Amino acid sequence: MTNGELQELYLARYAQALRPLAERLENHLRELFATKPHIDRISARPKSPERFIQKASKLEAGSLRYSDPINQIQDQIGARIVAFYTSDRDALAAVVKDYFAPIEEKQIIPDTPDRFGYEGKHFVLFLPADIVTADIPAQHVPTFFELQIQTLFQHAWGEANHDLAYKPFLDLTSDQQRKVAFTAAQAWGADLIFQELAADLLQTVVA
Amino acid sequence: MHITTLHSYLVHPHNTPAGTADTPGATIPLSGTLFHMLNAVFDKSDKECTIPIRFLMSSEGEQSNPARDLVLAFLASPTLKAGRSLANRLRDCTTMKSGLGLLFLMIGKENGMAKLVVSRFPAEEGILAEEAKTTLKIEFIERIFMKNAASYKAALYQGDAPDADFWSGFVVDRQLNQSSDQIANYWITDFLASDFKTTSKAGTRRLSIALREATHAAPLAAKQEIVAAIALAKGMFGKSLSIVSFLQQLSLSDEAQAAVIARLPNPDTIGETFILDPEEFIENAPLAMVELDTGGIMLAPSDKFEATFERELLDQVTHKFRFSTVGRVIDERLRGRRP
Repeated sequence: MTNGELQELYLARYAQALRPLAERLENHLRELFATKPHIDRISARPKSPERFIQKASKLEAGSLRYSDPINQIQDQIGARIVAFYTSDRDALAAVVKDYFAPIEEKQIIPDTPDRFGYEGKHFVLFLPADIVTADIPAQHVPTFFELQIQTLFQHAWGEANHDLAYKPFLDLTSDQQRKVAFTAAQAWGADLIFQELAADLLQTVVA
Repeated sequence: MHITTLHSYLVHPHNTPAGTADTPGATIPLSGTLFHMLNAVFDKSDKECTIPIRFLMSSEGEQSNPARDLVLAFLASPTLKAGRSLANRLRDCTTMKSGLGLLFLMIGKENGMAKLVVSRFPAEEGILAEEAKTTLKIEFIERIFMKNAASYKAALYQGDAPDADFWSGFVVDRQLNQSSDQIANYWITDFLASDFKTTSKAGTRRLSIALREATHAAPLAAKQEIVAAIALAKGMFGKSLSIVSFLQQLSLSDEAQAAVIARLPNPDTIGETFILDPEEFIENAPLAMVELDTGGIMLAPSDKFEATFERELLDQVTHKFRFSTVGRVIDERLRGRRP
């Protein structure tokens, strides 16, 4: 399949399936987590055609990383739950496993203890059958979606870092790298202190 | 789609002398009576295997599953040797209770689509009578398979994209003398390292919300049936069922069944199997209520309503009932609004 054909296929999928499914998934998640405390926001969105083609074109050891991107890229729909405290992250992850069928669960942390960076809980989950109705063309319905659970501070850091520093073509100076690491450390520290405060001040952090 | 590869293996229980060796197997020719018999099993698997299952991720949360790895390896290279790895896995999960079995691995490939049917037939007993000119030889045989071709276990996987399609499949267990929702643990959990595709809480939530919402929308007679079904659900807590089997086992009328199904977000989910979770059920359908034309209202926890209020039909034509209950008053209050 050429890049043009892949783009055309994904555009059809994006319009006919991913957009309506992302909207339904967001509503489904909101209903499921309606009674859970300390959730700042829940969102779901389809991967944009530009981002999809960018990802599909990634190389690994000189060859294309994905031989069948339309079936292999599992985050064509991405959902996110942003919670107040780090302890909420684990409690919400348990709820996710109660209601969804995962094929992957990852705790994202920096590679070594002396580094600071993004932290979060990521899942690859089967798209729930409740939202996949017959009006959506079956050939365009992805099997999986990605769900991220992160704290407010990790969410804020991740968004700004993605906008400013997470560019494959950009070489950051060592000073810029230190600034990025500094903000990550600040977010990590804020999470730590708020978690300690929550443990002290709230009788129950997550019911 | 026709069978393009067909292998068979004699699978012994693992805790027997024969169960320690490599599982013996043979490739079956794609013609003849046996082939036609198995081709029928292969063809009807689309209709017979109705319970959706999914492979479980590894305990470290990675996208890997030992049974799926063997399925993918066999699909990529459908040799007798590759199939033996699956047969050996079944042997390691087979106990004396499950007994000797004959495993068939059937693959069909057409236009980029692949279909794999994994089917196990149990060994049965029989008597062989061989007639000679003047004698009759009677022999007891312990290794008869497919005596009853409707008694078997099967799993079906199909698709055109190994990365996406082969994480889930469908199973059936025709050996159990129960409803099609019941399936031997060793087949789905141990051998296939899988679970129902619908989690216990997700399926229970779907059913209990549909029941609750149907009691708001359905006609009165259907409402009464649905409230009774909610009250009787506790008898099924912890059991595997589908929404359709739940409704049928409780003998709900067509009208009441239609009222419940209409409240499902996706009616296609009525056949999906899950284990009924008590906590989730009670959370979503906590109270059953009956309101009479006299203005009287009775309210009780849904799983205790029928036991709390005795219902007596007084007049079939006017549908008049007498409800009665006996208890000690522990609270009494006025409410500002109708509940």
